[in-house]
Amino acid sequence: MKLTVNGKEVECLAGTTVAALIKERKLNAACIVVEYNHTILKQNEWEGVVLNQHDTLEIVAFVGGG
Amino acid sequence: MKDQFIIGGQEVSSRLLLGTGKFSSNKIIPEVVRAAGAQVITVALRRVDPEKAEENIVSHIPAGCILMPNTSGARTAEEAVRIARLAKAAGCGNWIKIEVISDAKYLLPDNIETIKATQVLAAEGFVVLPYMSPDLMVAKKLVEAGAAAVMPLGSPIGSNRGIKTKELIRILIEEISVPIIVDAGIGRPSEAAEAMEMGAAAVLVNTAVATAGDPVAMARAFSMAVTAGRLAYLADPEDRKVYASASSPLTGFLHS
Repeated sequence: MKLTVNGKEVECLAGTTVAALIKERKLNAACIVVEYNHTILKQNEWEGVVLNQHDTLEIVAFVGGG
Repeated sequence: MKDQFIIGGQEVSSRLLLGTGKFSSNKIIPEVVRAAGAQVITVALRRVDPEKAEENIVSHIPAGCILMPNTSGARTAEEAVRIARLAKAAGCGNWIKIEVISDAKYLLPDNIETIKATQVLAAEGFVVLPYMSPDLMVAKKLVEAGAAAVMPLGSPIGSNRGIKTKELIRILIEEISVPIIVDAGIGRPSEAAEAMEMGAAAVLVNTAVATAGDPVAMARAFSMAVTAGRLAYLADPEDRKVYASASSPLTGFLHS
């Protein structure tokens, strides 16, 4: 199935959770924030959210800035 | 009497606020922060790129600092609010620098959208510091909306052109009840001192430190300039005059 992660369309197996996707991408869970279909997910919610076709995920982190 | 600097009810130990963008390496940031003596440190929020090696900027910021994420990238109040909420969810406090910009050439802020975002975020309990084009009525509306400080620009972001908006900032300092923090455009320590001598509560500097040949030395120079400028302001300098006024006695000359 297809979903959008950080503005890019990606392929993903049905049944994948947000937590699994984060792990698969080797992202550092300690310093990212996830927005799922425009709603911010708490880290303890990642495991319980199963991704669906056409979902939108934003995964963000702090970077240097003024 | 102690010269306290308070933002949103919290005492801040330094009147030099520091940005973390544009450093050649983030590894230098802890030393720069220490040299600057800065407590309030800005960061930005961006999409994670899985292709790039991840680096947690927060790990480079010394303990005891107040993290102030900005809403850079926002073009509307709605986008700024969304970024602010994401930043808060990262669990690094509730300070937010509102930055709403849709002008790519001069990066001048959209004051109207900034007021809207300030209203929403202050009501949600954020400590809101809006970056703005200096204008008295806008500043008053930002205060009404709940801004903890108002941050007028000296000149365009990253331009190092100094305080071109001096007269408008002077009016804000005189008329606005919350701290006025000059943000953007300060390119030299002398310009930071100038802002402080005028009575600005603080300055926010990024480019001038980050892009200097020796950022640590420049951070120290800015720290000294901010301290000197503040002290000079508190010392209450005499007004400028058109004509000379002799410093030495005008009596007892050797000639008749």
